Amino acid sequence: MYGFTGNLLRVDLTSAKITREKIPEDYLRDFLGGSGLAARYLYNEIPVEEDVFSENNKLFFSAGPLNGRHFPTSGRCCVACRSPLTGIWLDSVWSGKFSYNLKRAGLDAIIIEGKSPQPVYLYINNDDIQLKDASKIWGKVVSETVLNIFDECGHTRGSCCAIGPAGEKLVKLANIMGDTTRAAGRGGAGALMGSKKLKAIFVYGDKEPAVSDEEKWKEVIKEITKKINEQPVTKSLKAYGTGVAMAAASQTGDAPTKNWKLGTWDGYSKISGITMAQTILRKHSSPCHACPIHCARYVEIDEGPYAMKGEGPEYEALGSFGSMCLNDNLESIAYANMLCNEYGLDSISTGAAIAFAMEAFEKGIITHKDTDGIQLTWGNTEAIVALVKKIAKQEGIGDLLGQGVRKAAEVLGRGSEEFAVHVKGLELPMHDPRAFFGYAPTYATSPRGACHLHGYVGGYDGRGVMPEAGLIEPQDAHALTGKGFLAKIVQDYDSVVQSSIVCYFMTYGVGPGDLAKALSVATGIHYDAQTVLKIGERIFNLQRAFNNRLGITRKDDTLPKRVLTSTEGGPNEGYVPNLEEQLKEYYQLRGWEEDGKPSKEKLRELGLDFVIGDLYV
Amino acid sequence: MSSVICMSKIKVHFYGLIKGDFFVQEFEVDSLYTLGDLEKDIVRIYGNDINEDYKSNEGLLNHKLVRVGDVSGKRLDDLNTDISGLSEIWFVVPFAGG
Repeated sequence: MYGFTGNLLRVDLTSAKITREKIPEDYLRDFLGGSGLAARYLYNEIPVEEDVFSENNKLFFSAGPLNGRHFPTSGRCCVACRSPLTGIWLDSVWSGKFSYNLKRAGLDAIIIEGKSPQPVYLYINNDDIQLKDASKIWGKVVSETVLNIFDECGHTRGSCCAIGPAGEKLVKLANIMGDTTRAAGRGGAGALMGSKKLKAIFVYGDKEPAVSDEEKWKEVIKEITKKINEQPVTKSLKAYGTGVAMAAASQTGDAPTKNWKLGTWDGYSKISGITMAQTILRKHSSPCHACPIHCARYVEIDEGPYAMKGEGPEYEALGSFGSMCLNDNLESIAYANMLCNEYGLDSISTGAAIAFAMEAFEKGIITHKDTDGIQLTWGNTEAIVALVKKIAKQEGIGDLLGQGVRKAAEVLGRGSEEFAVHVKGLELPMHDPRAFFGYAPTYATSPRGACHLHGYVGGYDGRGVMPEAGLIEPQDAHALTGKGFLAKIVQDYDSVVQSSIVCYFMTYGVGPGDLAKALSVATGIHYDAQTVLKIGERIFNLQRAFNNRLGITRKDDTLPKRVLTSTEGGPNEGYVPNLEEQLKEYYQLRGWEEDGKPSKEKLRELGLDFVIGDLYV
Repeated sequence: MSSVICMSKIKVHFYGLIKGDFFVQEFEVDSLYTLGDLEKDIVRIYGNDINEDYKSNEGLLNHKLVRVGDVSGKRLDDLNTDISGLSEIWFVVPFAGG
C-alpha cells in the first residue's frame, strides 16, 4: 500500500518483547495514520475500567501517509493514550524529524504497553530495534537526555523524543519532548511514559517510503508549497513567529488576561513577537522539517536572572506565563518556557496553573505559608519561575498544581472552582471564546478537553472559508448562529490534518480538496474533499465514543463559568458566547443523542458499527 | 471668505494587512475625515500589497477579514464615522498564533 509502510511495532515493556505486526489495510484507508490510526487501535486496546497509570494504558506513536517524503509541514508526529491529567482521550502532535525517520525505518506506528522494571529507552535504527538501559540518563533534563542518546548510539542523524524529570515523577502536566524543544503537550503523556520507565525513543531510518506516483508527488509538493507561501499569514509567522498574535491582542481580545478576568492590559505589546524580534531574537531557529513557514524562534538573553539561549516562547507560552499572570517581562517568559522544555512540562497548563494559584493567593485561599514564602502576586516574575520548578519537582504547592487546576480547586475548595478554568480537566489554551465565539463549542466538545487544535477555529472564525464544507463566507467572530457548524467542519478537517500528519498553519492556504489530492497521490487511493471530511468525521466520532465509554456525556460538554462571564473591559466586554444554542446546532449536525453519544445511525454511516455494542447496551 | 482647514495626525497601526507585515504609519488628515476616506487612501497607497481577499467589492477594506478598531479596541465598522478626532486607529487581520 503506497503512502504507508503497513507496519506497526509492538513493544511490551513488561516482558521486553518487541514484535512487528501488519496493520490492516482498511485501518489505514479509513483512518489514515496519526490521530486516526491511534483511535482505531486504542479504542480496542485500552481498558476503560483501570487507572490511567495501569500497565494496560498504552502509548501509541504514529506517522501518517504524508510523512517521510518532504511534504510541506510534514515534520509532525502523533502520540496518543488515555490522558493521565483528564482520564479521557489524549492525542498530541509535535514537530521534528521523528515521523520522517519512523517511516524510513519501515514503520507507521509504535505501540508501547506494559511497564519496564527499570529505566529504558527504545532504540530503532532501521531493522536494529532494542530496548537499552537508561539508568544513566534517568533524572536528566531533556536536552542532556537527547545529547547523551545521540552520543551513546554514535548517531549524528535521526530523531529522539524523550521525557524530562517531570515525566519521570508522573507530574500530570508532563510532556513528551521531540528533538529537545518541540512539545507533544497537553494532558500528560509524559507522565504515562514515565510510569512505564521509558525515558526516550530514538529512531533513524534510511529507506524511502514509496508514493503512488513520483512525478505527481513532486508536482503536488510544489503546488502546496506555493499555496502556503502565498498566504499573508505565512509572511507574518516567518517574520515574527506565533507571538505576533499577541501584538494585536488589545484589538482582538484573544489573549486571556489575569486568569481570564480582564479584557485588556497594557502589557501585550511588551511580550509580542514583534518585541521579541526587536530584543532577544537572535535568529529564526532551524525550522521544522520540510516546513516553508519557519515560525520557530531562537533567542538569547546574555545576562541577568533569566540568562538563557535556545528556543523562544511561542504564542501559547507568552499567554500563559505573560498575560494570564500579568507578567510583561519577556525575558522571564522565555526563561520559564525554557524550564518547561527542559523539565518536560506543558507550558500552557503550567502557566494556567500558576495564574490560578495567583488568583487563589489574591483571594487568601492560599497564603505564603502554603507557598514556602513565595509571594504569589500578579506579575511577580520570580514567583512564576519558582513555581515552574516546584511543579516539575513536585515540591510544596507545586505538587498540587502539577495535578492541574481541576484537582487543585477540588483540594483547595473555598470557591476556587469558580476560577479553575478547564474543560474536562484540561486547562484552556490561550484563545478566548469571548473574542471568537467559534472556540466555545470547539473547546466544549474537543476529545481531549479544552483544545484549540482539535478544530483550529482560529484559522477560520472571523477570517477564513472552507467552501468544500459549505463555509462560503467568513463568519463574524461574534455571530450568534453558525458556530456549531463551524466547530464541526473544522474539527472534522483537522482530524485529517492530525492523521496525515501536517501542520495546522498549513490550513490557512490549503483546504480539504488540496489535502485530498496530496493523500491520493501519496496512497494511490482516490480521496476527494468529501471523503477526506468523512474520514475526519469518523475519527472524531471514534474518539468521542472512546470518551463516552469513560463516562463522558452531554453534561461534560460545557465551558467554565469564568469564560461564560464578560471580561472586565476590552474589545469583547459584554460579549459572551451563547453556548447552549451553539451546542444545540452542533449536536444536530453531529447526529449525536441528547446524552452525548453518537447515534446508532451516525455510527453505522461512518462505518463504526463495532462501537454500537459498547455504547448501547 | 476664507476657510480654515484643520489638519491633524492619526497613527495607523497595520497588523498583517499589508504584505503580512506589522508597522505604524502616521497619516495627516483633514477635519471631517471618515473611515471610508482613510480606507480609500490606504488602498490607493498600498493597494498592490494588500491581499485581494482583504479588499471589499467597493474597493475599500473587507471588514469580514480586517478588523478596524480604535485605541481601546472598540470596533469601527461604519465607513461614515468621522475619525479626524482619533489619535490612533488599528487595522488588524486576526489569526491565532500557537
